[in-house]
Amino acid sequence: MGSRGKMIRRIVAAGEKIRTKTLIIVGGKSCEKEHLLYVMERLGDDLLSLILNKIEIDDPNDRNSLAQVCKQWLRVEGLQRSSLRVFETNFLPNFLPRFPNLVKLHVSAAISNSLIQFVVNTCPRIQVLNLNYRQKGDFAGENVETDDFDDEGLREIAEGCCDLEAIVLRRRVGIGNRGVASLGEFSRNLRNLDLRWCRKVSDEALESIGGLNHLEGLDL
Amino acid sequence: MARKNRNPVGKNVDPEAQKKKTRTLTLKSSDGQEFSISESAAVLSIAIENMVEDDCAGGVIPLPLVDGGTLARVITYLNKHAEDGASDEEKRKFDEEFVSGMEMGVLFDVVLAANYLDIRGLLREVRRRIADRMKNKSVEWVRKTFHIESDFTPEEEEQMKKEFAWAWEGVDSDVDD
Repeated sequence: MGSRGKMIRRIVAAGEKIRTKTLIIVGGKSCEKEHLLYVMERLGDDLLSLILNKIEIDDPNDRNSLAQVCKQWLRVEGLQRSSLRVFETNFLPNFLPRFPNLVKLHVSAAISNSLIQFVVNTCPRIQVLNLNYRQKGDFAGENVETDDFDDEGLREIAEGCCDLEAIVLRRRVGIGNRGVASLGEFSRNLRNLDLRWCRKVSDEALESIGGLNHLEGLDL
Repeated sequence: MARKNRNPVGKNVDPEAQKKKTRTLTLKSSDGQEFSISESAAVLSIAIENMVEDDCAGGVIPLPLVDGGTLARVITYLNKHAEDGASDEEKRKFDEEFVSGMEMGVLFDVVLAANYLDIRGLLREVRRRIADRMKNKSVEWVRKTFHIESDFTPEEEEQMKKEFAWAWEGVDSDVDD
Protein backbone atom coordinates (compact mmCIF):
# COMPACT_ATOMS: atom_id res chain seq x y z
CA MET A 1 0.00 0.00 0.00
CA GLY A 2 2.92 2.31 0.66
CA SER A 3 4.18 2.31 -2.89
CA ARG A 4 0.66 2.70 -4.10
CA GLY A 5 0.29 5.75 -1.92
CA LYS A 6 3.43 7.21 -3.38
CA MET A 7 2.18 6.73 -6.89
CA ILE A 8 -1.00 8.58 -6.27
CA ARG A 9 -0.15 12.15 -7.05
CA ARG A 10 -3.69 13.16 -7.31
CA ILE A 11 -6.76 11.34 -6.26
CA VAL A 12 -9.89 12.11 -8.09
CA ALA A 13 -12.89 11.34 -5.99
CA ALA A 14 -16.40 11.23 -7.31
CA GLY A 15 -18.03 14.59 -7.04
CA GLU A 16 -14.83 16.58 -6.91
CA LYS A 17 -15.28 19.93 -8.55
CA ILE A 18 -12.98 20.36 -11.46
CA ARG A 19 -12.50 23.62 -13.24
CA THR A 20 -13.29 23.75 -16.91
CA LYS A 21 -10.27 23.87 -19.09
CA THR A 22 -9.93 27.14 -20.91
CA LEU A 23 -7.53 27.79 -23.69
CA ILE A 24 -7.35 31.50 -23.66
CA ILE A 25 -7.85 33.26 -20.42
CA VAL A 26 -9.69 36.39 -21.30
CA GLY A 27 -12.33 36.00 -18.70
CA GLY A 28 -15.91 34.93 -18.38
CA LYS A 29 -17.98 34.24 -21.42
CA SER A 30 -15.40 34.74 -24.13
CA CYS A 31 -13.44 31.85 -22.62
CA GLU A 32 -16.35 29.54 -23.11
CA LYS A 33 -16.71 30.84 -26.65
CA GLU A 34 -13.06 30.31 -27.54
CA HIS A 35 -13.25 26.93 -25.96
CA LEU A 36 -16.31 25.87 -27.94
CA LEU A 37 -14.76 27.17 -31.16
CA TYR A 38 -11.73 25.04 -30.44
CA VAL A 39 -13.75 21.96 -29.58
CA MET A 40 -16.07 22.24 -32.57
CA GLU A 41 -13.02 22.41 -34.80
CA ARG A 42 -11.84 19.08 -33.44
CA LEU A 43 -15.22 17.46 -33.85
CA GLY A 44 -14.67 15.25 -36.87
CA ASP A 45 -17.29 13.87 -39.20
CA ASP A 46 -17.31 10.46 -37.51
CA LEU A 47 -18.00 11.85 -34.07
CA LEU A 48 -20.54 14.35 -35.34
CA SER A 49 -22.35 11.53 -37.10
CA LEU A 50 -22.78 9.81 -33.76
CA ILE A 51 -24.87 12.78 -32.67
CA LEU A 52 -26.65 13.77 -35.88
CA ASN A 53 -28.44 10.53 -36.57
CA LYS A 54 -31.82 8.91 -36.30
CA ILE A 55 -31.17 7.25 -32.98
CA GLU A 56 -30.13 10.39 -31.13
CA ILE A 57 -32.28 12.91 -33.01
CA ASP A 58 -35.50 11.07 -33.71
CA ASP A 59 -37.56 13.92 -35.17
CA PRO A 60 -36.85 14.46 -38.90
CA ASN A 61 -37.65 18.16 -38.48
CA ASP A 62 -34.86 18.47 -35.95
CA ARG A 63 -32.45 16.75 -38.28
CA ASN A 64 -33.52 18.97 -41.17
CA SER A 65 -32.90 22.01 -39.09
CA LEU A 66 -29.52 20.80 -37.79
CA ALA A 67 -28.41 20.04 -41.34
CA GLN A 68 -28.77 23.73 -42.12
CA VAL A 69 -26.34 24.84 -39.44
CA CYS A 70 -23.20 24.69 -41.60
CA LYS A 71 -21.69 22.72 -44.47
CA GLN A 72 -20.10 20.05 -42.30
CA TRP A 73 -23.36 19.34 -40.52
CA LEU A 74 -25.23 19.29 -43.83
CA ARG A 75 -22.79 16.76 -45.23
CA VAL A 76 -22.73 14.56 -42.14
CA GLU A 77 -26.52 14.53 -41.81
CA GLY A 78 -26.84 13.59 -45.46
CA LEU A 79 -24.52 10.62 -45.07
CA GLN A 80 -26.82 9.26 -42.37
CA ARG A 81 -29.97 9.48 -44.43
CA SER A 82 -31.41 6.16 -45.48
CA SER A 83 -34.75 7.13 -47.00
CA LEU A 84 -35.90 9.99 -49.15
CA ARG A 85 -39.03 11.08 -50.94
CA VAL A 86 -38.48 13.39 -53.89
CA PHE A 87 -41.16 15.72 -55.22
CA GLU A 88 -39.24 17.64 -57.84
CA THR A 89 -36.88 15.69 -60.04
CA ASN A 90 -35.35 18.57 -62.00
CA PHE A 91 -33.15 19.46 -59.08
CA LEU A 92 -32.09 15.95 -58.18
CA PRO A 93 -28.52 16.54 -59.37
CA ASN A 94 -28.26 19.38 -56.86
CA PHE A 95 -29.21 17.53 -53.72
CA LEU A 96 -29.05 13.79 -54.28
CA PRO A 97 -25.22 13.58 -53.98
CA ARG A 98 -25.72 14.52 -50.34
CA PHE A 99 -27.45 11.16 -49.75
CA PRO A 100 -25.13 8.44 -51.12
CA ASN A 101 -26.30 5.88 -48.56
CA LEU A 102 -29.99 5.88 -49.39
CA VAL A 103 -31.69 2.52 -49.02
CA LYS A 104 -35.21 3.67 -49.86
CA LEU A 105 -36.16 6.18 -52.50
CA HIS A 106 -39.62 7.35 -53.51
CA VAL A 107 -40.12 9.39 -56.67
CA SER A 108 -43.67 9.96 -57.90
CA ALA A 109 -42.91 12.57 -60.58
CA ALA A 110 -41.71 11.97 -64.13
CA ILE A 111 -38.02 11.15 -64.23
CA SER A 112 -35.93 10.84 -67.37
CA ASN A 113 -33.60 7.99 -68.30
CA SER A 114 -30.57 10.18 -67.72
CA LEU A 115 -31.79 11.14 -64.26
CA ILE A 116 -32.47 7.49 -63.47
CA GLN A 117 -28.89 6.77 -64.43
CA PHE A 118 -27.78 9.59 -62.16
CA VAL A 119 -29.79 8.14 -59.28
CA VAL A 120 -28.33 4.67 -59.79
CA ASN A 121 -24.77 5.98 -59.89
CA THR A 122 -25.26 8.23 -56.88
CA CYS A 123 -27.14 5.80 -54.63
CA PRO A 124 -26.09 2.28 -55.58
CA ARG A 125 -27.26 0.82 -52.26
CA ILE A 126 -30.96 1.35 -52.92
CA GLN A 127 -33.05 -1.63 -51.85
CA VAL A 128 -36.54 -0.21 -52.11
CA LEU A 129 -37.39 1.95 -55.08
CA ASN A 130 -40.90 3.35 -55.23
CA LEU A 131 -41.55 4.94 -58.61
CA ASN A 132 -45.34 4.93 -58.38
CA TYR A 133 -46.25 7.65 -60.87
CA ARG A 134 -48.66 10.40 -59.85
CA GLN A 135 -49.78 12.91 -62.37
CA LYS A 136 -49.58 16.52 -61.40
CA GLY A 137 -52.91 18.30 -61.36
CA ASP A 138 -56.08 16.44 -62.20
CA PHE A 139 -56.40 12.94 -63.49
CA ALA A 140 -58.60 13.82 -66.48
CA GLY A 141 -56.11 13.63 -69.29
CA GLU A 142 -53.90 10.83 -70.43
CA ASN A 143 -51.05 13.29 -70.79
CA VAL A 144 -48.03 11.12 -70.97
CA GLU A 145 -45.10 13.20 -69.84
CA THR A 146 -42.67 13.19 -72.66
CA ASP A 147 -39.53 12.65 -70.70
CA ASP A 148 -40.29 9.78 -68.40
CA PHE A 149 -37.97 6.79 -68.18
CA ASP A 150 -38.55 3.63 -70.18
CA ASP A 151 -37.05 0.15 -70.49
CA GLU A 152 -33.60 1.62 -70.93
CA GLY A 153 -33.85 3.36 -67.55
CA LEU A 154 -35.19 0.22 -65.92
CA ARG A 155 -32.19 -1.66 -67.25
CA GLU A 156 -29.91 0.90 -65.60
CA ILE A 157 -31.70 0.26 -62.31
CA ALA A 158 -31.52 -3.53 -62.66
CA GLU A 159 -27.83 -3.45 -63.51
CA GLY A 160 -26.77 -0.75 -61.07
CA CYS A 161 -28.77 -1.43 -57.92
CA CYS A 162 -27.50 -4.87 -56.98
CA ASP A 163 -29.30 -4.89 -53.63
CA LEU A 164 -32.71 -4.09 -55.08
CA GLU A 165 -35.41 -5.92 -53.14
CA ALA A 166 -38.57 -4.05 -54.06
CA ILE A 167 -39.59 -1.87 -56.97
CA VAL A 168 -42.90 -0.13 -57.67
CA LEU A 169 -43.39 0.89 -61.30
CA ARG A 170 -47.10 1.73 -61.22
CA ARG A 171 -48.37 3.86 -64.14
CA ARG A 172 -44.95 4.10 -65.73
CA VAL A 173 -46.24 3.82 -69.27
CA GLY A 174 -42.77 3.63 -70.77
CA ILE A 175 -42.11 0.28 -69.13
CA GLY A 176 -42.53 -2.81 -71.31
CA ASN A 177 -41.49 -6.45 -71.44
CA ARG A 178 -37.89 -5.64 -72.27
CA GLY A 179 -37.44 -3.69 -69.04
CA VAL A 180 -39.03 -6.43 -66.98
CA ALA A 181 -36.69 -8.89 -68.67
CA SER A 182 -33.68 -6.94 -67.41
CA LEU A 183 -35.07 -7.17 -63.87
CA GLY A 184 -35.29 -10.93 -64.39
CA GLU A 185 -31.74 -10.96 -65.60
CA PHE A 186 -30.02 -8.80 -62.98
CA SER A 187 -32.21 -8.28 -59.92
CA ARG A 188 -31.67 -11.63 -58.34
CA ASN A 189 -32.69 -10.44 -54.88
CA LEU A 190 -35.99 -8.90 -55.92
CA ARG A 191 -38.80 -9.81 -53.53
CA ASN A 192 -41.53 -7.39 -54.49
CA LEU A 193 -42.50 -6.19 -57.93
CA ASP A 194 -45.40 -3.86 -58.67
CA LEU A 195 -46.32 -3.41 -62.34
CA ARG A 196 -49.91 -2.22 -61.98
CA TRP A 197 -51.11 -0.06 -64.87
CA CYS A 198 -47.94 -0.61 -66.84
CA ARG A 199 -49.87 -0.98 -70.08
CA LYS A 200 -46.97 -2.08 -72.22
CA VAL A 201 -46.22 -5.08 -70.03
CA SER A 202 -47.87 -8.22 -71.43
CA ASP A 203 -47.97 -11.95 -70.71
CA GLU A 204 -44.59 -12.20 -72.37
CA ALA A 205 -43.05 -10.62 -69.25
CA LEU A 206 -44.23 -13.51 -67.08
CA GLU A 207 -41.44 -15.69 -68.33
CA SER A 208 -38.73 -13.34 -67.05
CA ILE A 209 -40.66 -12.78 -63.82
CA GLY A 210 -40.65 -16.55 -63.37
CA GLY A 211 -36.86 -16.40 -63.15
CA LEU A 212 -36.99 -14.24 -60.02
CA ASN A 213 -36.52 -16.93 -57.42
CA HIS A 214 -36.96 -14.77 -54.34
CA LEU A 215 -40.15 -13.04 -55.46
CA GLU A 216 -42.75 -12.91 -52.69
CA GLY A 217 -45.09 -10.22 -53.90
CA LEU A 218 -46.25 -9.46 -57.45
CA ASP A 219 -48.81 -6.85 -58.50
CA LEU A 220 -49.99 -6.83 -62.09
CA MET B 1 -18.22 -14.62 -1.51
CA ALA B 2 -21.93 -14.12 -1.94
CA ARG B 3 -21.35 -10.45 -2.66
CA LYS B 4 -19.22 -11.25 -5.62
CA ASN B 5 -22.12 -12.78 -7.41
CA ARG B 6 -23.43 -9.27 -7.84
CA ASN B 7 -20.95 -8.84 -10.60
CA PRO B 8 -22.93 -10.08 -13.60
CA VAL B 9 -19.91 -11.50 -15.38
CA GLY B 10 -18.60 -13.08 -12.23
CA LYS B 11 -15.11 -12.00 -13.15
CA ASN B 12 -14.17 -11.28 -9.56
CA VAL B 13 -13.44 -14.91 -8.92
CA ASP B 14 -10.71 -14.80 -11.51
CA PRO B 15 -7.33 -14.18 -9.80
CA GLU B 16 -6.25 -12.12 -12.80
CA ALA B 17 -9.21 -9.80 -12.21
CA GLN B 18 -8.21 -9.48 -8.57
CA LYS B 19 -4.76 -8.44 -9.62
CA LYS B 20 -6.19 -5.81 -11.94
CA LYS B 21 -8.03 -4.27 -9.04
CA THR B 22 -4.93 -3.78 -6.97
CA ARG B 23 -2.62 -2.86 -9.83
CA THR B 24 -2.46 0.84 -10.50
CA LEU B 25 -1.79 2.64 -13.73
CA THR B 26 -0.72 6.22 -14.19
CA LEU B 27 -2.37 8.29 -16.90
CA LYS B 28 -0.76 11.51 -18.06
CA SER B 29 -2.87 14.29 -19.58
CA SER B 30 -1.87 16.62 -22.42
CA ASP B 31 -0.96 19.31 -19.91
CA GLY B 32 1.29 17.02 -17.92
CA GLN B 33 -0.96 16.13 -14.99
CA GLU B 34 -0.68 12.58 -13.73
CA PHE B 35 -3.53 10.52 -12.36
CA SER B 36 -3.51 7.15 -10.67
CA ILE B 37 -6.25 4.72 -11.45
CA SER B 38 -6.79 1.04 -10.77
CA GLU B 39 -6.24 -1.15 -13.78
CA SER B 40 -9.73 -2.60 -13.50
CA ALA B 41 -11.22 0.89 -13.90
CA ALA B 42 -8.76 1.99 -16.59
CA VAL B 43 -9.45 -0.97 -18.88
CA LEU B 44 -13.09 0.08 -19.22
CA SER B 45 -11.44 2.21 -21.87
CA ILE B 46 -10.80 -0.11 -24.79
CA ALA B 47 -7.91 2.07 -25.93
CA ILE B 48 -6.17 1.77 -22.56
CA GLU B 49 -6.98 -1.94 -22.38
CA ASN B 50 -5.23 -2.42 -25.72
CA MET B 51 -2.21 -0.51 -24.50
CA VAL B 52 -2.06 -2.63 -21.35
CA GLU B 53 -2.41 -5.84 -23.35
CA ASP B 54 0.31 -4.79 -25.74
CA ASP B 55 2.45 -4.12 -22.70
CA CYS B 56 2.95 -0.51 -23.59
CA ALA B 57 1.78 0.48 -20.15
CA GLY B 58 4.98 -0.19 -18.25
CA GLY B 59 5.31 3.27 -16.79
CA VAL B 60 3.07 6.20 -17.44
CA ILE B 61 0.41 6.11 -20.16
CA PRO B 62 0.48 9.41 -22.02
CA LEU B 63 -2.86 10.66 -23.34
CA PRO B 64 -1.82 13.63 -25.47
CA LEU B 65 -5.35 14.38 -26.67
CA VAL B 66 -7.00 14.70 -23.26
CA ASP B 67 -6.40 17.64 -20.94
CA GLY B 68 -6.23 17.30 -17.17
CA GLY B 69 -9.69 18.65 -16.37
CA THR B 70 -11.34 16.31 -18.82
CA LEU B 71 -9.24 13.33 -17.79
CA ALA B 72 -10.23 13.91 -14.18
CA ARG B 73 -13.88 13.75 -15.17
CA VAL B 74 -13.36 10.64 -17.21
CA ILE B 75 -11.56 8.96 -14.32
CA THR B 76 -14.44 9.80 -11.99
CA TYR B 77 -16.72 8.01 -14.43
CA LEU B 78 -14.42 4.99 -14.80
CA ASN B 79 -14.01 4.63 -11.04
CA LYS B 80 -17.76 4.60 -10.52
CA HIS B 81 -18.30 2.01 -13.22
CA ALA B 82 -15.55 -0.24 -11.89
CA GLU B 83 -16.79 0.05 -8.32
CA ASP B 84 -17.51 -3.22 -6.58
CA GLY B 85 -21.14 -3.76 -5.84
CA ALA B 86 -22.43 -0.65 -7.61
CA SER B 87 -25.79 -1.71 -9.01
CA ASP B 88 -26.87 -0.89 -12.55
CA GLU B 89 -29.49 1.43 -11.12
CA GLU B 90 -26.83 3.27 -9.12
CA LYS B 91 -24.62 3.60 -12.17
CA ARG B 92 -27.50 4.86 -14.25
CA LYS B 93 -28.26 7.51 -11.66
CA PHE B 94 -24.61 8.43 -11.47
CA ASP B 95 -24.44 8.81 -15.28
CA GLU B 96 -27.49 11.04 -15.23
CA GLU B 97 -25.99 13.34 -12.63
CA PHE B 98 -22.55 13.15 -14.15
CA VAL B 99 -23.61 14.82 -17.38
CA SER B 100 -26.53 16.93 -16.21
CA GLY B 101 -24.60 19.92 -14.95
CA MET B 102 -22.01 20.03 -17.70
CA GLU B 103 -21.66 23.09 -19.86
CA MET B 104 -21.75 22.55 -23.59
CA GLY B 105 -17.99 22.96 -24.00
CA VAL B 106 -17.35 20.38 -21.30
CA LEU B 107 -19.79 17.93 -22.89
CA PHE B 108 -17.82 18.18 -26.10
CA ASP B 109 -14.52 17.75 -24.28
CA VAL B 110 -15.84 14.59 -22.70
CA VAL B 111 -17.35 13.24 -25.92
CA LEU B 112 -14.02 13.73 -27.69
CA ALA B 113 -12.16 12.02 -24.86
CA ALA B 114 -14.66 9.15 -24.65
CA ASN B 115 -14.32 8.62 -28.38
CA TYR B 116 -10.53 8.74 -28.29
CA LEU B 117 -10.31 6.43 -25.29
CA ASP B 118 -13.08 4.22 -26.66
CA ILE B 119 -15.32 4.21 -23.60
CA ARG B 120 -18.61 3.11 -25.14
CA GLY B 121 -20.96 3.75 -22.23
CA LEU B 122 -19.66 7.25 -21.61
CA LEU B 123 -19.71 8.08 -25.30
CA ARG B 124 -23.34 6.98 -25.54
CA GLU B 125 -24.35 8.96 -22.48
CA VAL B 126 -22.68 12.20 -23.50
CA ARG B 127 -23.70 12.20 -27.14
CA ARG B 128 -27.29 11.57 -26.10
CA ARG B 129 -27.05 14.55 -23.81
CA ILE B 130 -25.65 16.77 -26.55
CA ALA B 131 -28.36 15.59 -28.95
CA ASP B 132 -31.05 16.28 -26.35
CA ARG B 133 -29.92 19.88 -26.06
CA MET B 134 -30.19 20.35 -29.81
CA LYS B 135 -33.73 19.05 -30.16
CA ASN B 136 -36.54 21.38 -31.04
CA LYS B 137 -34.23 24.34 -31.60
CA SER B 138 -33.93 26.77 -34.45
CA VAL B 139 -30.95 26.82 -36.78
CA GLU B 140 -30.04 30.22 -35.38
CA TRP B 141 -30.15 28.98 -31.80
CA VAL B 142 -27.84 26.08 -32.56
CA ARG B 143 -25.36 28.32 -34.38
CA LYS B 144 -25.32 30.81 -31.56
CA THR B 145 -25.07 28.26 -28.78
CA PHE B 146 -22.34 26.22 -30.42
CA HIS B 147 -20.56 29.27 -31.82
CA ILE B 148 -20.77 27.90 -35.32
CA GLU B 149 -20.62 30.41 -38.10
CA SER B 150 -22.71 29.64 -41.12
CA ASP B 151 -20.44 29.02 -44.11
CA PHE B 152 -23.32 29.15 -46.58
CA THR B 153 -23.66 32.06 -48.94
CA PRO B 154 -27.15 33.64 -48.92
CA GLU B 155 -27.73 32.01 -52.33
CA GLU B 156 -26.74 28.58 -51.02
CA GLU B 157 -29.00 29.04 -48.04
CA GLU B 158 -31.91 29.93 -50.30
CA GLN B 159 -31.20 26.95 -52.56
CA MET B 160 -30.99 24.62 -49.58
CA LYS B 161 -34.37 25.73 -48.23
CA LYS B 162 -35.94 24.89 -51.59
CA GLU B 163 -34.29 21.50 -51.65
CA PHE B 164 -35.65 20.70 -48.24
CA ALA B 165 -39.11 21.34 -49.63
CA TRP B 166 -38.55 19.10 -52.65
CA ALA B 167 -37.11 16.15 -50.88
CA TRP B 168 -38.43 14.78 -47.61
CA GLU B 169 -37.15 12.14 -45.41
CA GLY B 170 -39.08 8.91 -45.41
CA VAL B 171 -41.07 6.95 -47.96
CA ASP B 172 -44.82 6.66 -48.28
CA SER B 173 -46.43 3.29 -48.37
CA ASP B 174 -48.79 2.62 -51.24
CA VAL B 175 -51.96 1.52 -49.62
CA ASP B 176 -53.95 4.21 -51.35
CA ASP B 177 -54.55 2.69 -54.76
